[in-house]
Amino acid sequence: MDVPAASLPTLFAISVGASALGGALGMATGIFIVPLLTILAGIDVRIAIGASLVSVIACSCGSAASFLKQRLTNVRLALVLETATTLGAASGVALSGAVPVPFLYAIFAVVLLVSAWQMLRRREAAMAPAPAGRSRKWVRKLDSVYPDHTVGSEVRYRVDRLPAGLALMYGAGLLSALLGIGSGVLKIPAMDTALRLPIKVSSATSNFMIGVTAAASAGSYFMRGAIVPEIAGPVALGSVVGAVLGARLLAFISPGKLRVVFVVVLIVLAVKMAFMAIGMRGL
Amino acid sequence: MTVSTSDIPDRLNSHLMRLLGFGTWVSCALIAAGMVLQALGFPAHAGAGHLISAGIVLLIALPTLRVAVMGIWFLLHRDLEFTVIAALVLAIIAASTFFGAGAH
Repeated sequence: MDVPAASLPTLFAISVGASALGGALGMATGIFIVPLLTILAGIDVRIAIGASLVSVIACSCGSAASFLKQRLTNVRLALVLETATTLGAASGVALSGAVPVPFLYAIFAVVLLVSAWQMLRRREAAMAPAPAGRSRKWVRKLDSVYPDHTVGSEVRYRVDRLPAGLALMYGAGLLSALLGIGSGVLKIPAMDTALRLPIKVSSATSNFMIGVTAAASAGSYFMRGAIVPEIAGPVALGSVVGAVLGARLLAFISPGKLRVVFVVVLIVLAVKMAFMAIGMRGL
Repeated sequence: MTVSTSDIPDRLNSHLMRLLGFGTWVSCALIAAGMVLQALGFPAHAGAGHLISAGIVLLIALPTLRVAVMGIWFLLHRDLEFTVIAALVLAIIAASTFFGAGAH
């Protein structure tokens, strides 16, 4: 694919903006990259998905260190759930050639709308004490502690309903490979509702897993030539820079207002993607 | 069970922090260097494109390296269940990468 040189700063700027917006709300930003690249930069959707996957990996790896340092990431649980997300990603890779482009736009529109709805609904902690049922010994190795600064001590938690969590994670991996996103849309219900993790642990662990999930599909997309370095490079770098800026912005912007902006942007992009699904590009 | 064993997993955390932090830094530096060369007008085939590609390949490999490091760590600490789980994740990534590359 021929890439005009002038598009390089544009790609970089789009990625910085998308990532700063998401980063300021502490959420994964892969969901903005594909709609913006296809709508604003007119990039082929499959190339945009490849670029987005690379930026998802960059953001996951780049932010992992601070979560690990705060001891919020449950690395054992992440590894167990990654068996399901990578299997989902492998299925997504196998399917990706067969899924027609309008259908990709349609799934994207639905994912954007569900994300907008999740954003409005806010996450609530489902911390009902788990029944002390019998479970296999190794599963109990997943239980852990995390430091909670509001309480000022370490909080012990246990991992609940692993099969339901694994099933949702398989779906998250599938969506990630098909759409080039981090799939927070499915990971949030999987972590909060099925596994009943504390929100901070769930965010950190999900962020940690996103990189491996995306890498499971990015490798084959790269070998197929669906990851174009001249596009994926500036997008990945822009996303990392944007994520750093977004975290700084968090101190200056009220999260309430930003949430409204975020929901509006998600809905506008969903409508645009829906029109692209039915073949109406110029709207 | 008390929390006295939690300093052992912390060592795994610090290995992973170093790997992911350093890896992201190097790949971003490679991509940035490639972009600068490209902006200065060097043709893509004369190095700039290779630098960007190298950065992207490193980024894509980084999470897989992270799983490998975890697998080795669990093996060295005789935690066989988790060694097997890490090996399974690596096998799925390898299968997805090599079989997926052929399926268009």
